[in-house]
Amino acid sequence: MNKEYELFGRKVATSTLIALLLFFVGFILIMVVIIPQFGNIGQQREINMLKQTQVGTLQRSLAALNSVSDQRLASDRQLLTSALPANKEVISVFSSIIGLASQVGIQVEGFTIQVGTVYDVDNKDAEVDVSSDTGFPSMNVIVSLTSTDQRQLAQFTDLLYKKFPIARVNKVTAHQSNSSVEISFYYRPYDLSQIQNTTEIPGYTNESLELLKKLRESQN
Amino acid sequence: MKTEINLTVGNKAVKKKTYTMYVFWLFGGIVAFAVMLMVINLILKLQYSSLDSQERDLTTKINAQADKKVNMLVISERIKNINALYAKRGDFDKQLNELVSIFPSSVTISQITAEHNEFTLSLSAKNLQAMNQVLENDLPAFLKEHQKEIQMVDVNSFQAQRGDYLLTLRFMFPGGLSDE
Repeated sequence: MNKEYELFGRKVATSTLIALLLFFVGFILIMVVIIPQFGNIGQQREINMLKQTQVGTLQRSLAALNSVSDQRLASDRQLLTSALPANKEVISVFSSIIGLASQVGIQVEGFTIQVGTVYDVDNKDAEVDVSSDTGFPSMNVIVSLTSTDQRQLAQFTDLLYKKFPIARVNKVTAHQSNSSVEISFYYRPYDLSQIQNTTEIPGYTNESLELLKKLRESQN
Repeated sequence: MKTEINLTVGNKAVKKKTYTMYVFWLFGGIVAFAVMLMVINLILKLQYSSLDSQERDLTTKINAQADKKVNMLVISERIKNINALYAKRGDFDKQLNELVSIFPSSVTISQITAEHNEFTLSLSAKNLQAMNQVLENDLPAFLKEHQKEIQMVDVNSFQAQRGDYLLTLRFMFPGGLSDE
């Protein structure tokens, strides 16, 4: 039954031959299939994990999109861009200051604007940045006022902080009835095309809802 | 019935059989392991394909709401920046209002100089009693109430001039830009 063959001048049993053949095939399997599969599995797992993360991000983004109405978004965007405009809103700033001053019985005598660099040949792409301490471009306005009582000036800054929640009063000088207030109004342009390429859409957090509430209160 | 048993030959044959069996088992194991790895790889590829289709589906749904997406991204960008500015803004309005509220109406605030966290207020009063009220009662009461908020208070000067009593006070608040 276990027939013998002559191989290289030696008698070898069939079972030994089969065993040798299997050993050889097994070795080939290890080299050609098993070892490369290990690498492939590791690589595929990493790719899948990355994909899973991307899908997770998209799921969260879609959930965030579906959680708010179009009207709410439009209103919030308008509120936030009025708080931090994309450009210098000179006219609206002036008219608001005049309105606030008249509310507390102060008269606006004049404005001086320090706009900052409009064009710089060495730094064409940089944002115009008047006050670098915050890292935000700003329009600095010096308002000359006439008041009968300095307490009105305090009321004016109070109203100003409510109306412009991110404006900052840098300096106040008041002598008798004349006073001047130096205010920084911040703005920040945004690149819509860059924003559109963002894949993750963050939803509203408690912190952002709190901020929106605060801004909405200041507008009323 | 077989009566002759050659134990020597038989023993040799059993040894050979065992050796071949090991090779068979080893080969079987290798094949099974290779198949298992291929199945795992296949499962992972199927999983990827399912994730990929999910991704395409979600992207289509998101792109269908492109305007909403832009609004949300702009909102998120503005919120981030506004929060950053809020953190650096300070409480100038609150501080100035607190300071002017210290003094009674009998005292006139004739001069204010305020920059960052430093406020200098010049006060004038027609009678000494009013100034005394500020220095002895109003100011200490305010400082007691705002101990943690005020860093330093200086009486820069106190003088009498042509029937008016003039007092200059300098207040320093902690924090603000000068401390950054």
